[in-house]
Amino acid sequence: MVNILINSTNRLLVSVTILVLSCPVGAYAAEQVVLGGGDKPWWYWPLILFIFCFGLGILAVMAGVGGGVLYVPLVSGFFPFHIDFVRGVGLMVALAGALAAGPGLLRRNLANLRLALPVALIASTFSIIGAMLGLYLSALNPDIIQVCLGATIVGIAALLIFSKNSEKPIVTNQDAISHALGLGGVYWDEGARENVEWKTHRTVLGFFMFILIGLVAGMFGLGAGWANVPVLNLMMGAPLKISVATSKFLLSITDTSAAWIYMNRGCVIPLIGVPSIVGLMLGSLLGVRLLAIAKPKMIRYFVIVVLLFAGLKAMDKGLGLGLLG
Amino acid sequence: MKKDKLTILLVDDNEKFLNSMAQRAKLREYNVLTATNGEQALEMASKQTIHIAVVDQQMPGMEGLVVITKLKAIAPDIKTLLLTGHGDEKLKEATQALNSTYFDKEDISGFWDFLANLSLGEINILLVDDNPKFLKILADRIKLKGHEPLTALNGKEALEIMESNRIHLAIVDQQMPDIDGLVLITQLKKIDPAIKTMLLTGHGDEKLKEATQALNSSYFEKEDMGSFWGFFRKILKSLETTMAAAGMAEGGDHEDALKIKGSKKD
Repeated sequence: MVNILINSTNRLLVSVTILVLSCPVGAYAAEQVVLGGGDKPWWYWPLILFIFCFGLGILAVMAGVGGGVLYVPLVSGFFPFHIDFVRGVGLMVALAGALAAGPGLLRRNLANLRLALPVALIASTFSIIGAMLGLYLSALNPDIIQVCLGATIVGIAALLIFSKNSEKPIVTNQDAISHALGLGGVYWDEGARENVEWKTHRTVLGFFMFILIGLVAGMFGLGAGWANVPVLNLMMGAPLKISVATSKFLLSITDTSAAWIYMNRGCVIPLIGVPSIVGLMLGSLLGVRLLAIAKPKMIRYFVIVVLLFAGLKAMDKGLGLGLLG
Repeated sequence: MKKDKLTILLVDDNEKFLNSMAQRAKLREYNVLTATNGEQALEMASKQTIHIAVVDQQMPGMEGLVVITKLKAIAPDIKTLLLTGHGDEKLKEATQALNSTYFDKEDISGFWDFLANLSLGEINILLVDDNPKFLKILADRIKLKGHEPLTALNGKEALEIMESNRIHLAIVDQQMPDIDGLVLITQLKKIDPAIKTMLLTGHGDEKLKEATQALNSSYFEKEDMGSFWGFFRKILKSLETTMAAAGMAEGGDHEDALKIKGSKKD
C-alpha cells in the first residue's frame, strides 16, 4: 500500500519535472512565433505562465529554494517578456509568498521580530536603491542587467550547492551591538524536549551583508531568502529554523520597498503578475502536501542544475554570444 | 439548580431575629428550617439533608463554633456560616479554620448575595463525551466559572455517577459508542425528572434538534460549522498554516515545515 503511494508520488513528481522542463522549451519555441507575428490570443501566455508557475511552486517547496529566485531567471530566460516586467513580478511573487507565510511564522514564535527589524531597515533601504539602480541600468541597456543577473544566479546556484546550514550554530561571545539590540531568544525544541537559547555574533558584519542583499534583491527582483538564511545562520549564528522563518518574514518588508519602485514605474503588469502569483501559491500548497510523502533530495540538485543553466543562459543572452541557443 | 431544592437551617436563640431571617430566606425560595439552640439543630441535621447552616455564635448552652463543628461531623458536605453581633478577629480566624464562613450581624448586606452565590456553587454538573480531549476542555472552562464538574466518557459511566450523586445539570454528547445522547438524556430524566439537560453535537440535523426539544433539553452544535464565516475562518487558518510551512520549506528547512504542517491536525 505504502509502496503504491510512494510509486505514484514519484510518478507525479517525474511528470511535474517533465512539465516544468518541457514548458520552457515550448515557451522558447513559442517565443520565436511571438517575435514573428504574435497571433496568439490574449489568454495564451497567462495560461502557460500559470501552468509553469504551478510546477515551479511545487519544485520551490520540494527543493527548498525560494520561489522568487527561481522565477526571475527561468521566466526571463524562457518567456518573451521584457526583463523589467519579470523583475517587477518576481518581487511580487516573493512578496506574496512572504506575506502569506509571515503571520503563521510569527504566531508560532519562529520569526523573530527583534532580529528582523534592524536588518529589515537596512535591507529595505538598500533594496530601494537597488531597484532604482536596476531600472536605471536597464534603461541604458537591458543586456547589462541580463549579464549581472546571470552572474548572480550562477553564484546563487554555487551557494546552494556548497553552503551547509547549521541547525544550532554555537555562539560563545555575543557582541555589544547584538547585546544592545537584544538579538537573541529562546525556542522550544520538541525533538530534544528542551528550551534552546540563542544569540547572535558578528552582528556588524552581518548588517553590512544586508546592504549587499538589499541591493541585489532590489536590482534583480529575486527575493532574498537564498542570501538571508546563510547570513543569519552561518555568519550571525542564529539557529536554522529562526533564520529561515525570520528571512521569510524579512522578505515581506524588504520586497515591499523594492516592489513599490517597480510598481511606480509601471513594471508590474497584472496579466503577468496574477497568473504567476496564483500559480506559485497553489503550487506551493500542493508542494507542502507532497513533502510529507516524498524525500526530495534529488529534486534539490535537479533544481540547482536548472538554476545554473538559467543563469548561464541569461549571461549568454546578455552578452549576445548565442552559445546556448 | 432550583433554590427550593436547597435546605437551609437557621440557628439563633433570638426568636425575633430568627423569624425575620426565615421569612427573608423563604422569599428567596429556600427550604427553611429553624432551630433555637444547638441541640435542636443537631437533631434536625441527623434526620434530614441540610445544605446550608447559618449559625449564631452567642447562644446559651452550645456556642456557634461548636455547633458548626458537630454539624460537619454529621454531614461533612454541609456549608456553614457563622453569624454574630459580637465578632472579633480571633473568632473570624477560628471560623475560617473550620472551613466555614463568617458574617457580622450588623453588616448583613453582603450575606444574601453570598448565600445566592453559595447555592450556585452547589450545582452539580455532569459532562458526558467520548472524546477525552473535548471533555477536558469543557471541564476546564466550567471550572473557570467556579464549578466542579463531574465527567463521564460514556453513557454507562454517566448513569453510574447519576445513581450516586445528585446532578443538577447534564451536558451530553450525541455521538457516543454505547448509548447515544438522546437515549442517555431520557434515562437521566427518568432517574431525576428535575435534571436540566443539554445536548452537544458535531453532527446535528433538524430532526435531532426537534427530538431534543421534545425531551425538554437544550441543543448545541459543537462547532458552528453551519455558519459561513466559521467555515471561512477555518479555511483561512489552514491556509495560513500551509503557507507558513511552505515558507519554511522554501528556506530549506523541510523538517520544521513538516512539523508545522503536522501540527495542523491537532
